[in-house]
Amino acid sequence: MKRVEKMKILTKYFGEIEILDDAIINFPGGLLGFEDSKDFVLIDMPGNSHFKFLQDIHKSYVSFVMINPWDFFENYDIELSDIELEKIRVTSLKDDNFSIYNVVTLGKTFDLSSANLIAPVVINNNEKLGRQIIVDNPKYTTKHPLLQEGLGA
Amino acid sequence: MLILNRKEGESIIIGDNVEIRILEIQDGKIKIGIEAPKEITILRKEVYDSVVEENKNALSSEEDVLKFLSQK
Repeated sequence: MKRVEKMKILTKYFGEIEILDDAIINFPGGLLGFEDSKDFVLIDMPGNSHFKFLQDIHKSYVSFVMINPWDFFENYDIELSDIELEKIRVTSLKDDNFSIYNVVTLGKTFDLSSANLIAPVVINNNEKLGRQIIVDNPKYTTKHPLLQEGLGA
Repeated sequence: MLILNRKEGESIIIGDNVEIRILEIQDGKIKIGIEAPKEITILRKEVYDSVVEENKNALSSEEDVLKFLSQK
């Protein structure tokens, strides 16, 4: 069995933190436009369970704000192809097997903040593999205002 | 960039297993059929570009992110 090691990383919002190396999620293709960013950890936003940070463990300035789409967009409905899922070794659709998040772009207010629903980030929780997948659905774009449905509305 | 002339119904082959066929040309629009192995991702370039741009936007927020998110 692989030994779990502690390591220190520098983060964008929390300074230096200690993580366990089995928390590292490998994105073989990086995120789109950030192809060199391949190793991330998910950090919970303290005091607000609706947000997480996807933090590059090597580049502190690369830290994306993430949401669970269904917290904000209860009718979010996407189709992920088997071929795309196989790239992160997701072969069964059991709930605990993988998670779906979306990247948030913050604006001056929540109304001006948006989620990118056309390119969800899919993470295989067991294998610690991730991939940003573009869904070919004309309903979705890169900018859906956060307060449109769901929370706080 | 390689530039080729193609007529309706003609194809080009890329590598061993990608074929791009010009199905129809009408009113300045071209309908293209693509045959490729399933593992090859095919995207409209403007969609791909918009995702790259939005990922970059997502990182460029100058707000005090922690303070901002703790409002909710």
